Amino acid sequence: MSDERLKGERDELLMALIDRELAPEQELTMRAAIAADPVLARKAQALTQLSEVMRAHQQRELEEAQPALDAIWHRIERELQREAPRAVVSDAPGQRLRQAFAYWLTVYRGHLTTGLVAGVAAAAITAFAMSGRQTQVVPPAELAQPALPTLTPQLRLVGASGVDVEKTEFSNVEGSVYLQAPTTPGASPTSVIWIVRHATDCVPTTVPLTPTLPTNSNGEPI
Amino acid sequence: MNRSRQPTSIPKDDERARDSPEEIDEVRRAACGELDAQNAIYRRYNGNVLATARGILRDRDDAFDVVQETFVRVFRSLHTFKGESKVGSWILRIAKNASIDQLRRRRPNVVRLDGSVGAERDLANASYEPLAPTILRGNPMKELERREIRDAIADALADLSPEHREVWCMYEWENLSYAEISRVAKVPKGTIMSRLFHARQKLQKSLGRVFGTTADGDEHEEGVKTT
Repeated sequence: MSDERLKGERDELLMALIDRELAPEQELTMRAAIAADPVLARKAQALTQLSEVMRAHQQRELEEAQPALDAIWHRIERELQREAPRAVVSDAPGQRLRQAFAYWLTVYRGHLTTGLVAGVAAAAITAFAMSGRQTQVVPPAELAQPALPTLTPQLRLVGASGVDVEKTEFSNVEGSVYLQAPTTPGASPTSVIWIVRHATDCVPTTVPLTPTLPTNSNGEPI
Repeated sequence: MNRSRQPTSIPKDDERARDSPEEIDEVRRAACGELDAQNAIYRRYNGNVLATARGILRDRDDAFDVVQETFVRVFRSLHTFKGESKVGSWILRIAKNASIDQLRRRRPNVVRLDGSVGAERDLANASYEPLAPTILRGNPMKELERREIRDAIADALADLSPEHREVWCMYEWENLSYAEISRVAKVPKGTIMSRLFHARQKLQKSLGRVFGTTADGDEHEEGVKTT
């Protein structure tokens, strides 16, 4: 590679340094080279000055041109307004709205796609959740309240307080067991299991049980 | 002018070459005919459009005509802008086409529309000439007050080949990075660097003729001639 080419490439790197386009490690290398080489430092200074002068020139030109540019805006505005009614007459109804919608669609296509995907996902999750909930719903027939068993006067409640003998609680139900004394001598007592759901429903169930109750010496229930 | 550029080792996000959500909204409103939004776009870009037109046409009055023509075209066709580049780049492309149309009307048999032959010749002749370590004499900023100085600088810019001027404009006026210019111009980044380098070389020489130079560094590097 010729010396001239090397200098040219080094000058391009110098330009990239001034433009803040160098990778950090290249930047460090170039800064070290500038520090060690006064000619390179002067080139960097000249490049910076060139950019400053050109930008100042552009700014100065713009300031001077401002009145003319303002006048041009008024001409543009008039031309656009003159065209607007013609466009309404010549365009099909809704053309402008369609154009605006087409533009909106172009710009926000990504947002729209994301929204649609999110909507479909939300609908799917909702449907799934709803189907899961239905499996837990007690059918109306089960919810219908059966006739509550009448606790006859012969009911004999076992226990010192006369309240339920056993009580069992689960997460959402509470069960109480009552014993109903037999109405005829020698018959077995009837167990009544009272299940109360903690929600609003109440489903009593009557289950005949073989008594295994403590008895006294005469074999009678205590 | 604030410049906040990233080093090349940091991957350039495509989003950097696009407008912010606020600017996109402004473009959308302008496309729907809102005058306030159109005016904001006009004010933001009219200077760059004027400079682009002047660089191509070398005539101030013609350049003003092109500014009007450009923005009428812009607002007529803003609904077709797809947002694939910055709206400023899109507007400058329209300005360039409008300038070429104007040039064709003015000099139908002379104009070279694409400038590619000139650019290739320029690059072939460039031969890695180093940058001059020359500083402009006097106080260039104060000299800019003079109309003839500013005209000379405008001519220097107009003397650049279309490719070099385009890269210069995108870098200096649109604040695009090398990578962004490469994407917009559809040429490799190395080519962009080379074009920008040669544009600066030529401007440096031209401004040296306008202002005069101090060349303290000349004795340190052979082959560098300042004019």
